[in-house]
Amino acid sequence: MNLLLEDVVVAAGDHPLHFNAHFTGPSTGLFGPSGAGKTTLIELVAGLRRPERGRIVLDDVVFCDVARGWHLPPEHRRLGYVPQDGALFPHLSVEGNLRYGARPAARAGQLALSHVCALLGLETLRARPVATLSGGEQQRVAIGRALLAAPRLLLFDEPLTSLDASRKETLLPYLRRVRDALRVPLLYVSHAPAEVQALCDELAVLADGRIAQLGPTTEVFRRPADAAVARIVGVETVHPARLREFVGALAAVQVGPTRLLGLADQLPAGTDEVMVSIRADDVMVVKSATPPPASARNRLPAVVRDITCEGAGRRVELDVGFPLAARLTPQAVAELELAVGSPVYALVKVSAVHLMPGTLPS
Amino acid sequence: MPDLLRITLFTLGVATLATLLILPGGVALGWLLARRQWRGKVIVETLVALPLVVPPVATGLVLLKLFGRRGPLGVFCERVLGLEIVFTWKAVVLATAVMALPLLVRAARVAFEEVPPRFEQVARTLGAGPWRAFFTITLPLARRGLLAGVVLAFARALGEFGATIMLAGYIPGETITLALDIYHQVQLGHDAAAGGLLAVSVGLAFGALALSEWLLRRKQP
Repeated sequence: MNLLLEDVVVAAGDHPLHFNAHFTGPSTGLFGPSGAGKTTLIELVAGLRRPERGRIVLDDVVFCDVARGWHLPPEHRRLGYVPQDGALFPHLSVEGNLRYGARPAARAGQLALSHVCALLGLETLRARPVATLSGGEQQRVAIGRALLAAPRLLLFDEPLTSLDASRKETLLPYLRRVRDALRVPLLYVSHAPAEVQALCDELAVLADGRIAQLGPTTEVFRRPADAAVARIVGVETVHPARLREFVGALAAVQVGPTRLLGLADQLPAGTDEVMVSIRADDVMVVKSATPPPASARNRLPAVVRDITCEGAGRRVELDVGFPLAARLTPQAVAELELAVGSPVYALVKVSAVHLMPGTLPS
Repeated sequence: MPDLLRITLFTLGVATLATLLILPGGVALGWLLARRQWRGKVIVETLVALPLVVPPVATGLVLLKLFGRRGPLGVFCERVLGLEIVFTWKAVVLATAVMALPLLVRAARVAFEEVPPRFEQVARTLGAGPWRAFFTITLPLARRGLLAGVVLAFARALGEFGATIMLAGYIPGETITLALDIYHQVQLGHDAAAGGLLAVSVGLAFGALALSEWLLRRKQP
């Protein structure tokens, strides 16, 4: 995929959205809280919405160039759009829906109806009216319908959101199959970290109507660009700090009364105010009265403030001079006999202390 | 009674013609009102709704002034199209069409508003141009509401009296519909004849409603 959004401005609600990005995919996630403009971005690419300014180009096809008064109608963009609710045509059967936008198989690169049905498990559904399908089946038909249009790019707008947890689990493998078997580039909107981590090579984080960070998915989750992105991708501890000194390749920062060591290469020169982000998964807890011997360079005396259930794990809120969250297994919590008030040590590797320029977002 | 049969067929023919005449424009106007924002929308909306609230006789009078010998549209029709309208069967069609139009437009508007634009948008992304999206998605999804509107308009055209008597008058063999004749026969004291006309009117209305019910129930998704 080679999708370019150049200075694209569109009014949505009271504040304008402003997109500047070059997506290379092959599957790109659009991630962010609701209202950040994810769906608007998808609709701009699909041609269902016209920007007030800017250019949108996919490969060598100019979709939209406001300065030249050019707007390619959606029917000429050759995209496969799957909206949140599937939007199957209610007056047509499954087969009718699948065939609505189908292009001749030859042009579609052997993407025949039977092939798509096999891929998405639709063989037995073909004659059914769409009203009788379950939510997951409807989504699969919507995906099949989009695929049969032989799209240059697939646009998925939160295709799993309307499904319950178990149905999500069953649909996700189909999405992976579509991505891997057909190699159609994918633009995938979601606000669920698990989905974009499972499906997307590249991730764009949307915040306040702009793209706050664009990069490889693992990189964005590990190294958010700023505090706002860190919050959006779900980093548990985000705290302002002051840069004190450089110790070789390491940077020492002061967070409240506590001194932390992090990797210095993440900081531009001349930074003073920084933000620290630490994932709860990267924090180890040791029951000890004195600093335990360990390779981790950050060994912080801590007091347990709270322990809560979080799925199959336990989230332990520590006080290390600032609030620090750790995620442990229930077994670890039991073995260490952790309770509110327990004195412990928190161990954090230097590489897990992510330093970002900037101050706390208001 | 050949007179009764002739009047019945004439009424049916006029109502059908009037409905067909307003169908494309009425549906298009309903769609424009439901889906698009445009300058002068409120004015057009009001003009179309006017025959619903103004007394039919008044509407007929306005039409008479417009389409009469010296009316601007009457002159246009006579000179350019070679059509003489007032006090002919064409006047009956015109009057009933104008009176039926608001019902069709309103029904069409509501019918289109109930179709989520999402379906058309998805159809467009699947390669359908605006016309194909309209005829394969919007129109079939709105068909129940549209059909109800057509039946309503047809029924209105069948029974129109006020505007018709103004514009077409009571001219034997030329403009007499069931409604006009009921009034005329009662005026003459021919209660039996009026009763027969009444029975036919009720029968036609009943038939139209039954037909629409049947059409609506058929092939329900």
